[in-house]
Amino acid sequence: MKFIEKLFLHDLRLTGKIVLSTFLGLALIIFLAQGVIALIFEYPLDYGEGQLLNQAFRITQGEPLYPADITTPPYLISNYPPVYILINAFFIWIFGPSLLIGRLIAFLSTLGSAFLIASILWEFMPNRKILPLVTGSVTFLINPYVLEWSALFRIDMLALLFSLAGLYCVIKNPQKNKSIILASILFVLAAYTRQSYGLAAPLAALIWTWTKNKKQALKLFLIYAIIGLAIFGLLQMLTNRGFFFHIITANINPFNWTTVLHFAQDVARKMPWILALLVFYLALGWRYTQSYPYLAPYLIAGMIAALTIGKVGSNVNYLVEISAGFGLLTGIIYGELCETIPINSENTPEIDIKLEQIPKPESMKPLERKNLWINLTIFLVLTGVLLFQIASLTQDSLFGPIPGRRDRIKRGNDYIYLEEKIKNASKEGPVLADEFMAMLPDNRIQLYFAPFEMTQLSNTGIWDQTRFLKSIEDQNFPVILIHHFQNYPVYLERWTNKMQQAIFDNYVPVEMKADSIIFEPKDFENKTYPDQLNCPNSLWQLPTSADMGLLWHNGQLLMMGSGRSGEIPVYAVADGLLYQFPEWEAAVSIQHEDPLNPGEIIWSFYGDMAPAFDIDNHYIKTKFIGAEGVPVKAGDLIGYQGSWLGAYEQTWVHLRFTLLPAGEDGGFPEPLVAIDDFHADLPAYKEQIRLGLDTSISLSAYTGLPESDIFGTLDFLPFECAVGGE
Amino acid sequence: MIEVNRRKATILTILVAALWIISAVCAFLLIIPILDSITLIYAAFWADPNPIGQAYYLGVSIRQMGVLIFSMLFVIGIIGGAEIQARNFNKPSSWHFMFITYAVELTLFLFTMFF
Repeated sequence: MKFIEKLFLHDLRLTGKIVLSTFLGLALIIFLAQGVIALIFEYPLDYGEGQLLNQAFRITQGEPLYPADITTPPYLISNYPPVYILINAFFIWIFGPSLLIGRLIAFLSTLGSAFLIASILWEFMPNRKILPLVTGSVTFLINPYVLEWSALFRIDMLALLFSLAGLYCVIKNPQKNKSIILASILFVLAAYTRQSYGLAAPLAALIWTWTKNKKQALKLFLIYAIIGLAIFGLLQMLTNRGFFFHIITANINPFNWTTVLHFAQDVARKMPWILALLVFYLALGWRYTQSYPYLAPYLIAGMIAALTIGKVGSNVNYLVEISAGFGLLTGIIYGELCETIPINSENTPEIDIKLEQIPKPESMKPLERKNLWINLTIFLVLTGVLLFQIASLTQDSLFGPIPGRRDRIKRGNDYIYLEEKIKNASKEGPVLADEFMAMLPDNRIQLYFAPFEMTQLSNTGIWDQTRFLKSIEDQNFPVILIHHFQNYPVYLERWTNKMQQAIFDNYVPVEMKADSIIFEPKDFENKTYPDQLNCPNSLWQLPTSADMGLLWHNGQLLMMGSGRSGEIPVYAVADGLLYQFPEWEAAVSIQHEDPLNPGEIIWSFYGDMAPAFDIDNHYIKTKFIGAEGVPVKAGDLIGYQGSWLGAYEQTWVHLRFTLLPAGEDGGFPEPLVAIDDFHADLPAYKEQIRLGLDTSISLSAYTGLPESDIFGTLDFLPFECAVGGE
Repeated sequence: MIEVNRRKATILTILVAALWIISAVCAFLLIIPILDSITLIYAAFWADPNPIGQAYYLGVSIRQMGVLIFSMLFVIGIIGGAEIQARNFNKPSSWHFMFITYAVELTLFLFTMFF
C-alpha cells in the first residue's frame, strides 16, 4: 500500500467527520440560541402554557386540580396528570408565578433527553466512537418538532426525560433488581407527567428485558403496573373520580384522519432519509444489531402513540417521542456502519503524519485492502446522507418554528399593553382569554374559563354551556381576548358558535394587539352598532359583517368577518352597475348614483375576495366575472370574504372595501385602477386633488362605517356605527 | 535516476502550487456566500422588515465585522498555508494539511449551499 492510498483512506474519513461535526455543531448552536431566546421572553408563546401555569398556581392557592364538578365556574379542565404541574407548583410557591420556571424545566429536560439518547447509544457502540452519539443526540435536538417544543411551558419534554431515563436503566442493567425498580418508578413518573408516555418506553424496556431475563421482565411489568394503578386509584379517590374525567374523558376529542395524513406528509417531507433508515432497520436490524429488541418496539409504539395527533387541537408535541426514537435510530445505524466490515487493526497500516519523508510502500492482503475501501465508501455515503438530513432539519427549524417565534416576540409593546389591560380589567371582573391566557396566572389572576377544552366538551355534549352563555350576555366579563391568527382561524375551534355569537352580539372589538382582538362590552346606551348589516339612518347598507373588527388602511377598510375564507357573504351596498375590469383578479366595483350629490356618480369597491395564494379559485360570483355594467340591487350577493392579500401574502379573512370618486364621465377613476393590488402605490391625497378627483368621500356618511385619520399604517377600528357621519 | 527524481520533484512542486492556488481562490470566493449564509441565519432569529430598525443595523454590523474577520483569516490562511507547504514540502504532514484545507473548504461550501 502506497502512502497516497493511506492518505486518502485516512483523510477522506477525516473529511467526512469534519463536515458532519461542523453541521452538528451548527445545529446545536441554533438549538441553544432559540432556547435561550424563548427562556428570556416573559410573555406566552403557546396557548397551553397558560393552562399549565394556572394549574400550578391553583395548587399553590390550595385549589383542586381535578374538580369533579365543572358546572360552576371556574370552567377549567386539567388535561394532564400532575407530576410536571406539581414540580412547577413547588417552584411557584417559592418564587411566585413565572413562565420561566416551566420553560426552564422543559428545556433542561430536552437537553437531558439528548444526553440520555447518547448514553443509550453508548451501550451499543462496540468501538466507543463519539460521533454517532453526537449525531443521534443532535438529530433529536434539531428536529423541528422537538426544537419548537423544547422551551415551552409544556409537559412533554419532562415526560420524555423520565421515559428515556427508565429505558436507559433497563438497557444498562436488566439483570439488577435496583435497575428494574428504578426504571419502573421512572416509567410511572413519565406516565403521570403525560399519559401517552406510559406506552412506548415501558413496552420497549419490557421486551428488551424479556430477551435478557424473563423473570426480570415480569418484575418490571408488575412493579410498573402495581405502582401505576395504585396511584391512579388514590388519585381517583382523592379527586372524587375527577382525575379520570379530566385526563381521559375530557381528552377524547374528535379524531381527524386528515390531520394524521397532513402530519405524516410533513414528517415524510422533513425526514425522508430517516424514514428510509427506519424501513431498512425494521427489515434488517434484527439480524445485524443488538439494539433491535428495544429500539424496534420503541419506534413502532412511538409511531402508534403519534397517531393520536389526529385529535382536534393536537400539535407537534405528539411527534416528540417518535423524534427521540429517530435520534436513537440514527445513532445506532451510524455507529454500526462506521466500520461495517470488521478490520483487524494489527493488519491495518497506520498513517503517521509526523514522518519526515514519504514512507515506502507496505505490503497488505488484497482482501483487507478491499474491505478498507468498502468501509470508507459506506462511511462516506452514510455520512453524506446524514449530513443532508441534519442540514435539512436545521433548515426546517431555522425557517419554520424559529421565525414564527421571532415574529411573535417582536410584538414587544403589544404585550405590555395587553398585560396592563388584563390587570386593570381583572379588577372589575373575570377576564376571558385564549392564546394569551398565561398573562392571567402570570399576574396572580386565576383563569375563569379554558376556551378550547370547554368548547370540545360542549361540542361532545359533556358540558352544558348555557350558564356561561348567560354570563356573556350579561356582560359579566370586562374584557374578552380572542386571538386571531393570520393563517388559520383557530378561534373557531376554541369558542363554540354560540359563544362567538353571544360575544359578537354583546361585545365590540375595540383593539387588536399582537394579533389578539380585545372585545369590550357594547355600550348600548351611548353608541349604535350595526344591525343586520345596517347602521341606523345610513343611506346604504354595509357590504359584509366585521365581527372581528375593522382595519383601516389609507382610506380603505379591511372588514374582518367571523368564519373561514369563502364563507362570509359580501353584498352590494346599493343599487348600481357592477364592473370587473380586465386587470382585476379578486375585486369588483359598483357604479352608483350619488345620493348625497344628485347627478354625480360614486363607486363602491370590494376587494380581496379569494383564498390565500390561490387567485384562480376566487370567491366572486360567476355571473360577475368580467362584468361590464351588470345591474345589481342593494343586498345582492357579490361573493365572499377571502384571505387574499396579493400573490405572496396571506392575512385574516376579510373584505377590502372603500368608496371612490368617479373619473371623467362617471367612469372608474383611471389613477385608482391599480387598487385591486393591496400593495399598489396609489396617488396620495394631494395628488388625487391635482388629478381632479374629489377625495372627500366619507365611508361614514354613506354607510355609517367608522373612519380614521391615520394614513401610512394599519389602524384598528371597532365594528360600530359612526354617529352622524363623524 | 537523478533526472527522474528532478522531474518528479518538479511535477510535485507544480501540483502543490496548483492545489494551493485553487484553495486560495476557493477561499476567496467563499467569503461573500458565507457572509450571506450568516446573515440569513441571523435574519431567521432577529429579522425586522423595518429598514431603520435595530435588527437591521445589527445585521449590517455583523456583516461588516464578518468581512473584516474573514479577510484577516483569508490572508492568514493564504500566507500560512504557503509557508507550511514550502517548509514541509512533500512530507506526510504537508499532504495531510492540504487535505484538511480542502475538507474545511468543502464544509464551508456545503454551509453556503444549505443556508
